[in-house]
Amino acid sequence: MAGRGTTPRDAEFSSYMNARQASLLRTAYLLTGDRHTAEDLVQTAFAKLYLAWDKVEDQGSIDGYVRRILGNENNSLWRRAWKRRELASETVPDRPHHDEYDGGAGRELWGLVQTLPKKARAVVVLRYYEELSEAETADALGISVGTVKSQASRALATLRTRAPQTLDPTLTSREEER
Amino acid sequence: MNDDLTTRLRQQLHDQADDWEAAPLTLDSVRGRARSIQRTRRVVTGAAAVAVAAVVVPSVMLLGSDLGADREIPPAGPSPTRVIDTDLPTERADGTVPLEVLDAPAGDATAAGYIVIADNQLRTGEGALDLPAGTQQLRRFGDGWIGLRATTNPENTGYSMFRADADLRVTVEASAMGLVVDLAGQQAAWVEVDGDQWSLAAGTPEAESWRTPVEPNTQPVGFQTDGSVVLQTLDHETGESTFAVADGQRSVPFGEGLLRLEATSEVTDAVSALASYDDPVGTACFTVLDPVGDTTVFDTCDFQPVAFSPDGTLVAGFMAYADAIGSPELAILDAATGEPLVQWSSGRDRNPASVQEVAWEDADTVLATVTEGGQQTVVRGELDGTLEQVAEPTQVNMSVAYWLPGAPANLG
Repeated sequence: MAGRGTTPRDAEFSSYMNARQASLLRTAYLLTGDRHTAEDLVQTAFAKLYLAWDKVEDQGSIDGYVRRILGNENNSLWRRAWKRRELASETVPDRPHHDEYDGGAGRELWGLVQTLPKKARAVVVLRYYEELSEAETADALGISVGTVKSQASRALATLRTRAPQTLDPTLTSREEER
Repeated sequence: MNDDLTTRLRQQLHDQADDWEAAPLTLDSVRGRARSIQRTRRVVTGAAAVAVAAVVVPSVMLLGSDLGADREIPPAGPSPTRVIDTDLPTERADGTVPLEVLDAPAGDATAAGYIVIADNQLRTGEGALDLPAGTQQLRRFGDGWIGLRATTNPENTGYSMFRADADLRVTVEASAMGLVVDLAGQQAAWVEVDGDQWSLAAGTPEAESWRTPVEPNTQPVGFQTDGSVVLQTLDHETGESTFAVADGQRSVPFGEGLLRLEATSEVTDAVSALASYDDPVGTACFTVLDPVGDTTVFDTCDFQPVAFSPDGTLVAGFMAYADAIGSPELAILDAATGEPLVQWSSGRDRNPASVQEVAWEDADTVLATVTEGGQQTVVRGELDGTLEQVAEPTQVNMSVAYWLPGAPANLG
């Protein structure tokens, strides 16, 4: 929120941040599995955007730029592993996977998503939560479209292998081609 | 009734995240983080206080965007912060900059840490941790650590892989040869040896993911984007090595004719390898390739690419032929073309400096152990050519005082 002494630049940046913060936090939470880490990730992304705000030429490209920072920072979390913070309750389950059918009311697939390799998890979140296209996902993560496709395919195969009761085999091939 | 997988996946992702409507970040908190980011990029020694200096980063380094230059952040108060530009190193006619570390200014402590051999400790800005005895390799893994250490047990390979808690107290150990960990510290792959049975295993901090038999003298080199592992196998009889990418279900060979792997990028899948070596002349040539299609990204006989940056856009390199003392040069190359973006060199110095190890501190900053004038230190190197010390220079003569936990594992 702009206050006394806020420059027009800061007011413009604040407006963008307020409009996008909640959405980015939700995506960051799915990427990291932890709300504290998600806040840290998004704060860093906004900070780097703030540093480069004067160079923004195309307002429509800001979302893509912030996603790229988010993806890059998510890959750099190993640098901040030194910070010993208490994790939120949404942590990776003790067992990486289980085949018990949850009747559709639980979070079986979410638990399995958290066990995916980081890159595969990011592809899953951007493709199936943010509904980005393969090209937009590739741009956000700094990888090729081909890698997006292979990552998504392998991630779905992994989920399918570990949670067979959730599948309807007749719909599998059509959805993978989407 | 079972739903389709991706429909259920979408539903559960939204169920998991959509109830979070909080907006805890404020402009002040973001500005504070921005100042912190600027401070970690540049420190001016000798000043009474840390000053914020403008940093110009080539736009290609920022993930292809044009939003390259950092903006100086004014304080909230009425008085502007005095800006002090750092002294950039003088570029020689050949484009290199001096590799001079003893006169480099002192910089911020590095969160990545470095090992002090004499004290057997890991040092970071937050303090020091004692290492398990004989530690040869150490990486962050989940909430704790994973590493390799030498062991005197004659019944195993001479090395063991250990897991340790956050305070580096060993919790589990097994005979192993070779260990790689992904950048996030959430995946590890290692080779276990049980008698004459060699196995490649991979897992997360919580559990092992898969395991598969491998040939003797196989070592993991690094991860690919899909979690598969790049392997190198040495045939002791022929002295030749073979290479493959394995994922627990299949192993796909690549790189026929290459001599040795140097590094991998888990972001771009690129692999760096020694392609040829002319012993009498001492000429070595390297190639960076994509193992999936066995296609070449670039070749070089000028540099030895040894470590890809976290985002895969850069690769740190030594001089193409370096002896056991170290490399008289250190370069940061464009990982797509092999062109040097910055090249530190001792030039024709009478007592040249030499670089022993290099690791990435972040997407565009390297840490390196460097010896000059009989003293070794750890330095931070930036794309603009500046160097700053992050460890006290220590007299070493022909030995070493420091090593970097993030440096590529020695496969020799």
